[in-house]
Amino acid sequence: MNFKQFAIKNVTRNGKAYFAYFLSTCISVALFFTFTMFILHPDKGAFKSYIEVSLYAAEIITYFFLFFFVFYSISVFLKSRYKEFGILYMIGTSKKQILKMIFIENMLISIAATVCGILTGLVFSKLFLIMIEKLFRIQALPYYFPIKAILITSVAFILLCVLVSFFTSWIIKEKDILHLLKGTIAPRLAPKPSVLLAILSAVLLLVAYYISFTSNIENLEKIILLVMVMVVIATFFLFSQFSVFFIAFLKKNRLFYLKHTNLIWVSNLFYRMKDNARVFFIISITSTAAFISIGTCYAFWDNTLGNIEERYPLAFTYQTIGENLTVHEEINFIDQQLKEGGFSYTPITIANKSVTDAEEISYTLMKMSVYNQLAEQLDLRTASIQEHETIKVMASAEFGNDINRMTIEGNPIRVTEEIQAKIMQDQASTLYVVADTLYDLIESDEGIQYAFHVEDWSDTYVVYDEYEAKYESNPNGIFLSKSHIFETEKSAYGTIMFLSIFIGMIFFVTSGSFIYNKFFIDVETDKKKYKQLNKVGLTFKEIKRITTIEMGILFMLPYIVACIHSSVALSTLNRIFEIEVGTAAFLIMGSFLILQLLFYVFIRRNYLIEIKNELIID
Amino acid sequence: MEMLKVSQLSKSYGKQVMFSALNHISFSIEAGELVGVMGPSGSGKTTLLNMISTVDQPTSGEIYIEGNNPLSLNGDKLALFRRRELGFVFQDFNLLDTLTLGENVILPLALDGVPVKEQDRRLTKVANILGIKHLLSKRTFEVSGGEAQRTAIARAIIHKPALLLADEPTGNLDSNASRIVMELFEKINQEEQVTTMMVTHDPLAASYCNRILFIKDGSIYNEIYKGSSRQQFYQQIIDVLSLLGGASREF
Repeated sequence: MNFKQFAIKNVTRNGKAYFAYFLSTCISVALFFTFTMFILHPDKGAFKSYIEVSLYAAEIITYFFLFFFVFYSISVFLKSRYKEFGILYMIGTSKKQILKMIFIENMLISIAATVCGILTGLVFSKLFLIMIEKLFRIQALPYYFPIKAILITSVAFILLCVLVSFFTSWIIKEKDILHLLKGTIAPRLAPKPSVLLAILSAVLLLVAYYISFTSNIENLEKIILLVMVMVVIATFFLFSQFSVFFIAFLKKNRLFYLKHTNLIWVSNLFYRMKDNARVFFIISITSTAAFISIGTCYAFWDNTLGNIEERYPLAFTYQTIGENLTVHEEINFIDQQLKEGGFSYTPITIANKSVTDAEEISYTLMKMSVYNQLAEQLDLRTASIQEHETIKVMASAEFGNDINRMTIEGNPIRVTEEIQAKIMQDQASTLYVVADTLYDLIESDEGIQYAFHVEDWSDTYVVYDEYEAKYESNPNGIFLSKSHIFETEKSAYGTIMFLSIFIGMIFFVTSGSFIYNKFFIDVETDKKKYKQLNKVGLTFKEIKRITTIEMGILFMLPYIVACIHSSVALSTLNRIFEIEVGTAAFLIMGSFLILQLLFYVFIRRNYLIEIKNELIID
Repeated sequence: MEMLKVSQLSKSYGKQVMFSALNHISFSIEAGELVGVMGPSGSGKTTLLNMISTVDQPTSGEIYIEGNNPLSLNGDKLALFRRRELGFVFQDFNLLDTLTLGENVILPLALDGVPVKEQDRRLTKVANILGIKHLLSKRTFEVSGGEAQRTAIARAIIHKPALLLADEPTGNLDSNASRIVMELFEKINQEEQVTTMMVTHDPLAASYCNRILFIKDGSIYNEIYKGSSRQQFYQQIIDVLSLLGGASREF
């Protein structure tokens, strides 16, 4: 048996010990692969360049994050093997040989994990696509076989493995191993939180929240970075100092601390908080980032699609620019298509004329009969206008003016009513509805739009598709379809949102396995501890209570902090950009919290089963 | 009064090939006694202790602690029985390193919801008896083995158990610390009337007991009582051990 064989046998014969590490690497590969696959998707469409860049940036950040994650997993894993290394040292293995052994093992695991991860990714991405499609009713990207993504992922992870192996020489501390052998392992010293830093973190956080709440659109750009930095620093000290400080405070409250199981869980948390501070910090910050980006994306998506009726009141409009020879042919074609599609529709020919009065102010005028046709379709009140009257129709309040009299063709006209409504697709400013007789008097060019109104327009994009196939080459005809625009926007925003949810998932899953790993390393020591305590009379019910509180805090705290952070950020966005983010954010944070809760219940159950098996007869 | 009564206790392991660890052992311990249990490795003394500790079930026979049969209880009720009626001292102390020594001592009281004032009062009392008052705010790794064992004894007696069970309490200690710990066992036995049963290998430690039960191959081999002097008792123990055989291999 040579050294290589020894290392390989180590892995193959002790699969259980290596499994947790294998699993975390496998998850990382699967996530990275799926993400790469989407970025390189041939049908994902062209994004604006900054989105393209930020996607690649996200890929690189993800890679670093996963690197950190794998590195962390291996360090936890190796630390649990100190005893084994100790034996190897005893029989005269050099550190170089141990590192070589780790390298071989690591390569073996990484290659297996990469293969497994890519396979999982292929399956997972399909499921993910279906899920997204169902959840957001968007046309998801089609499935493809991503050779490029497979190559990139394989290279990235083999490289990651080599780098991680290289860094393991830092993790393995010869001194600690020798201490362990001699039975003189250094005890865990009580953490000493700095009161100053604890206060600092609370103050920084409150100030950052205050700035965020009082910001406005002018100073937003200046403060946003400052607030971010403040929150990041505050969060770090919140976990590493403030939480420990708070538990120390609980310990001082003897009436609370010395009551029932409080004594055990409070003192456990006192150490575990400090041990996990860095992990909690990372989980909080990444989750906050994910919540904010998903929340914002979802809000924009929802908002844009929500106001489609406002932007495009009519299902179809056809307009001509310049000389259009095929106009009647095209109109007939659209008419024909609508009939064939079985849509019930109302054709309206919208005409308007522009006049300029003596004071050089120009007005766009519309016939009352045309207006009434539109009003009927758009559920507005129909008008009845006399010769010297007009109704002012404004697309939105910002186009309002104080004109209430005008002179057209020598006739004095009075504004009798103001209506705020959008009745045409490209109605930019204000329309004046006048009596038909007056309108006909005006001698100026008439702008014509052919509109087709369909009440239930959601599937009418097929008409557009047919039209586009046939008349796309005509530069003089502009055919707008509400349904087509809606679908296009939906898939564009959908893709971005989908990617941000995906990044959120990466953070979520990896941070979940962070905690998972941590607990299953700890369970070995905990088993021993609870066995002893059970012997002196700690009941299983009490162990259950201790575990529930302890794990509950360790699992939920980072998410709760993340939820608070993102709520503040999103409410600021809400206020400044007047985008409704409430429901979106609630949906996202709520579903992540539910997932986390399920994860907590699952891990707690397994952990308790492990502990129970260790306890004495029942 | 009988604190512990063991009658016809047997334990066998295995399915096809039965191995009998204990054979119909019967004895009893009166209130206020300090009883040692000795015997070579594999004699069944740890099995016996485990069953009295209620952490193992006998194949047949009965155990009564202060007249109660703990074997009729199960699960959490049994754990509560251990917590309230028994005190444990282990070879490796079994103190929680996340707690201070003082917190370790009051742990059984805290778990039972005893008011803090009462906890403090009892802690002061046992700390004085065991001479660990100055150590209460220290952590487990800051004190010596002897001091840790004294803390463990304090934890074992703070709730006034019916029976104190000790498993090789001097096994991890040097001779000086062993002597101090045994003197404390003797002291709490005499001054606080703590009924104690102790399993030990160490004849010197055993010589602090009032009575020694010798077990060999799962049965009681001999039983000796302490006379007037500890020195003489020690000699008697050595004699029995050498008769028991294997004694020379034991220490």
